[in-house]
Amino acid sequence: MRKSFDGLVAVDGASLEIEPGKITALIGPNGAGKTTFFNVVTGFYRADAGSIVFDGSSIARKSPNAIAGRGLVRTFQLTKSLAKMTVLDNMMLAAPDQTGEKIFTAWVVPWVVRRQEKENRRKALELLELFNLSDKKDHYAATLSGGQRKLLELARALMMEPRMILLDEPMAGINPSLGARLLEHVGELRDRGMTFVLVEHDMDVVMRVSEHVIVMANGQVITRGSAEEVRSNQQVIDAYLGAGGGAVEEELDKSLDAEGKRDD
Amino acid sequence: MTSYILSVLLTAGIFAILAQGLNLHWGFTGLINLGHVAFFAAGAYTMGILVTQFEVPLLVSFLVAMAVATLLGMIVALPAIRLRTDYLAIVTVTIGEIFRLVLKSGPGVTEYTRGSRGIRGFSNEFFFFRENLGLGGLTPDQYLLILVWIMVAVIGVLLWVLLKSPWGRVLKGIREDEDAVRALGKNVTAYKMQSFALGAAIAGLAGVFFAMDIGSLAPDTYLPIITFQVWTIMMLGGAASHWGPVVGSVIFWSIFNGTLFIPPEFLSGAEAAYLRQIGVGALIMAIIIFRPQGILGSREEMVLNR
Ligand SMILES: Nc1ncnc2c1ncn2[C@@H]1O[C@H](COP(=O)(O)OP(=O)(O)OP(=O)(O)O)[C@@H](O)[C@H]1O
Ligand SMILES: [Mg+2]
Repeated sequence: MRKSFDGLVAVDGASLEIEPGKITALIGPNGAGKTTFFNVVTGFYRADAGSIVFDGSSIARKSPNAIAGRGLVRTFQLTKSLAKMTVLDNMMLAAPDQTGEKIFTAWVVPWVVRRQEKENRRKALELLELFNLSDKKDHYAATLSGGQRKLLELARALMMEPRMILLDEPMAGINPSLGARLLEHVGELRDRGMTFVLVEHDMDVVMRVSEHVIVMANGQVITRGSAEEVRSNQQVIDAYLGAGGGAVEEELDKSLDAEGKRDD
Repeated sequence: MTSYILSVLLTAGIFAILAQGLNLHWGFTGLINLGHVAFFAAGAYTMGILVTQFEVPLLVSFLVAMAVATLLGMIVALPAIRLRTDYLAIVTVTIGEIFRLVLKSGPGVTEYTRGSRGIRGFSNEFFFFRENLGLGGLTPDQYLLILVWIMVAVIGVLLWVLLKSPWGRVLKGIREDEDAVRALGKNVTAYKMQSFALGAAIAGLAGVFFAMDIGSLAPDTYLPIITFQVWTIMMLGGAASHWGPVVGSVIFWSIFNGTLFIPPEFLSGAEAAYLRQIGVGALIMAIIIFRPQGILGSREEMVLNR
């Protein structure tokens, strides 16, 4: 894939494959092109060149809604909660294939609509429970805190029952204990066959959940492999160092040490 | 006094219908439409032309009038809904004016619209029709008034049902953040199109009643000021509140026509006409300062930031 913005090349020939039924982490320094990659894959931007294949068919020229409709769903790095709608309405909106969403069937078959609404409501409440948002269900989404909005967006994406989900920094601003619970839930969904790709700067999270790590820098994939393999890769360390200091390297070390301790 | 009340209520009813259509566009879908008057004119002219020149039955002419307004809505929407808010505003206000000028002097079009000479004589059948309904005892104005307010109620209920449905939820989602709604798999373009078309159809029906009320059609009746009056009505009543447009319309026209009560020795008719414009300006300022959410609007929604 190639994507540039007026001469600035954001994605420069990055090519990657995501294995179904696995959790893949996409990491890389700020400005590496991770979000742009997501935006192109999900149809929000059009690639300058390249191809995107999902589940055997090309989605390169499809609209964002068509892509989401096929089961490839994403969340946004800058959260998009629907401010003047309640938390529950945010969730209900996301339910796929609603009869009541069509202008004619919305009022022609009210009983069908009511039945679906009931079912979707049940599903939504279940997810909200899991995300600690139950008591907020009747509040406007605008009244949620930043972390709660992140949670809502993730819950809303899951409401769509996607087959593959692209999460752009889902854990940013979420308290660690709830974060751990969510990651557990992500693991369960993966076991049931859902595919995850997450962009994440918190190496602890990356090391803990992901089976594959893909590292991007300057719009290219510089390496891929298991968390351990990636950690010891000199190119990765250089990429992060180039992007500003050794903090990330330390972070990588620290989290792997922590892993080690847990294994003992 | 009764004639004042009657005339206020009649105009208010017609503009309530118009504002209900605009409220669907702006209040519930977040689409800026500054060309609402075009749909109003499309409805009026379609009916007028069909009745006077093609001898189409009245009811059919009503339906075709709404269909033409719908079609115009879709044609406007086609390029417009891909645009960002501010460009959409520019495009719609332009289309409103273009439509008026085409009615007035479009080559080929003036054969039907008769340019600035206008069209007359389409309303007789409509008013005679009240005998068939057993309403012969009513004056034409009373009869029109009743029909208009029945339609205000019917449209109000129809919109209420639609906007409470999952369809309405998608529209509100689009109003908040259309990209988020796209990411949820909804065809945003199709919904905007439907919103535009339905709101335009409603404005077209208002146009038919308006034509019946004044009894003639002339292009220069359909100036952009009408669009802005409808906006004032909607903001006054409360955008995104179901019955706001209705309440807003009654209050707006009570004030607007209230200048009739100024004794002529105090202010001449022409001076009073200026006074009402000043009154409307003051009203708009008062809404923005004291009650930005409008009379029936929700304060809570208003103050929420995104
Ligand atoms: N819409 C846009 N217009 C212009 N430039 C853009 C746009 N989106 C991204 N860019 C540029 O593309 C480059 C890659 O940005 P991108 O958001 O994809 O990085 P990222 O890897 O997601 O970084 P981060 O970890 O900070 O979120 C940056 O230099 C950015 O300035
Ligand atoms: Mg990013």
